[in-house]
Amino acid sequence: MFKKILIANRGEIALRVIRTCKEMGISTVAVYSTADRDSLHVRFADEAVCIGPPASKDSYLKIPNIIAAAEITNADAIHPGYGFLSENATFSKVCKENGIKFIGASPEMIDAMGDKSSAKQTMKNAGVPCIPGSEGILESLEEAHKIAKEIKYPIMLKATAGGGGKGMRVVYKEEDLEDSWEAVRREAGAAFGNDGIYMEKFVEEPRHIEIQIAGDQYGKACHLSERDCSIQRRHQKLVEETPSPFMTDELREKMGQAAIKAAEAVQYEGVGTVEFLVDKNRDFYFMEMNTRIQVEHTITEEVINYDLVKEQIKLAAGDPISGRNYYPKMHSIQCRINAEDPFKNFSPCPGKITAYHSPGGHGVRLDTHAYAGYVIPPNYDSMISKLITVAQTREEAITKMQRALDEYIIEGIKTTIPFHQKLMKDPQFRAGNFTTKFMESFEM
Amino acid sequence: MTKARIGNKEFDFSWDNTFHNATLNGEKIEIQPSEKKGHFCLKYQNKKYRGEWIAFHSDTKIAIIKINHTEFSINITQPIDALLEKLGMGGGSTKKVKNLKAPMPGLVRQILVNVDEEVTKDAPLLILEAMKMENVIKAQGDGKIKSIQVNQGQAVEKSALLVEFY
Repeated sequence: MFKKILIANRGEIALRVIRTCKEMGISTVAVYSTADRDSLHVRFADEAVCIGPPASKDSYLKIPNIIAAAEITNADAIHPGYGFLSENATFSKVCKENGIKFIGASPEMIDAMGDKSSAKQTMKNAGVPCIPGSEGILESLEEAHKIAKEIKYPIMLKATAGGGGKGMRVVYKEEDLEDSWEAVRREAGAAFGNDGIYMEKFVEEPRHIEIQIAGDQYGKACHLSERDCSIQRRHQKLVEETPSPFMTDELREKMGQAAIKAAEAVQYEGVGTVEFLVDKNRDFYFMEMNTRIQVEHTITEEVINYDLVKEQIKLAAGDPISGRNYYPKMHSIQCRINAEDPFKNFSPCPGKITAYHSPGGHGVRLDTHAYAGYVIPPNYDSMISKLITVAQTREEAITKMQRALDEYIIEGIKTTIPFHQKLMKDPQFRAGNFTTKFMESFEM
Repeated sequence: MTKARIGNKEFDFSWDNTFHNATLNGEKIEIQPSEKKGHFCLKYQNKKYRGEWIAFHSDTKIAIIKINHTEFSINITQPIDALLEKLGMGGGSTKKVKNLKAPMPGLVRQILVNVDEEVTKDAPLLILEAMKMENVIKAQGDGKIKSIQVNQGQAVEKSALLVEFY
């Protein structure tokens, strides 16, 4: 097992990884930008190294600085969290070259799966159902025009290195293609340093249901059931739950087997997620595979009673999996609390938290790096907290969530708590009757 | 006589032309504007209260006031421009383009207008990146641009002056 793990991330996920490391008796190293000097992950880790100024490209995305931090602290593994360098093949490669274990996918796997356009080809070959679109990265705007005509509007432009809703646009009409093309290139270049774009048919009225998988170094994989992430705004997940209210035992088995097929096709090692779009006929299409721990891994942990980060570290250290699959025993919901004003079109609201009170009690879990006096910097993601409830039934989990949201006090900044309070009362949401379009007609 | 509503409760409200004396459901209130703009003192049923105007939304006619640290949103069903003027909250319904300030800290990603350009309400002026999101900052009304105070790629603090109008 590893002796010391460097966490190449910030915020709640850095804390999340530190917690598991502590339980496993592994020392931890935090890295931070100057904007995060007072962040909790810096205080909770055994050691901390400053890796640069606030801009992500000069700190959390700066590979030489992170490797240097691992070398001076003598860390034998790096956990990348989610976002930043978690699905960066170069980073995975540089770790390997420096004799540091990257707790995530190998460079080859990231190239095969993290790169969304080649992932689709790999999946097609493995017999996993896919959505029609461009064959790999689009060479030019002209090519984009041509393929869009073939597969018919609406289409979706996606940055090949993208994720978390950044670097993608839906285009409904030919005349809007050029503007969206430029916007995606710009966003992708700024956020991921890679402006490759691909295109696919935009499936209308879909549900976003993903399957959690785990694979070991010996080519064996298993699934840990689904998460329904259909409540999204601009492709940014807001609420996740498991089991999906749309799921049947039969569909779960079919999707689970497809996900295992996907994992075994690339000899996937570690924990990952296979995202599918499920239409109203319960046909499903492979969307992408995330070769990292996800923001919403928490709800899976709650319903199968399993620490996924611990599993991830064990798999990286070479432990084998049992090979059996895991099914939900409870119902769990996660609300992402963002520093955004839901009454002003979810505009970002960084700043100082002047007063803070966290919810608690039976069935309530809170993963956050927020505290009273913390100043949320404008340089990073707006998510400041994940509120999770778990109960025997969906209805109970919702009731518990309402109670927990009412207890949660964050003053000084605007947050999405009022949005979640309203959502939990929404008759369509309560009925489990929603698609990824839900937020387009939801009024605050 | 003005009718005001808080939640489901409706109140009759009136005031004399000095605005220092008012009645609430027939009972007397003394209003004393304080030196601080938007602040005032109330005396009602022999008790004193401290009040503050927080906001007035002219389109919805909802006023938000703070009485002894508690915020109330009041639905006002009669014109109250004169009262607002008196209490330092005037100009509720006239829309004049003011200078554009940064609504949040962030990075100026792109400037979409030029000096001396005439813009109409809701015209995109610039793109401000904050929390990894591109936020299109729009004109709050019609106007002509006098100067642009920031450069592309510049980091700005909240409330920093971005665009000046004539």
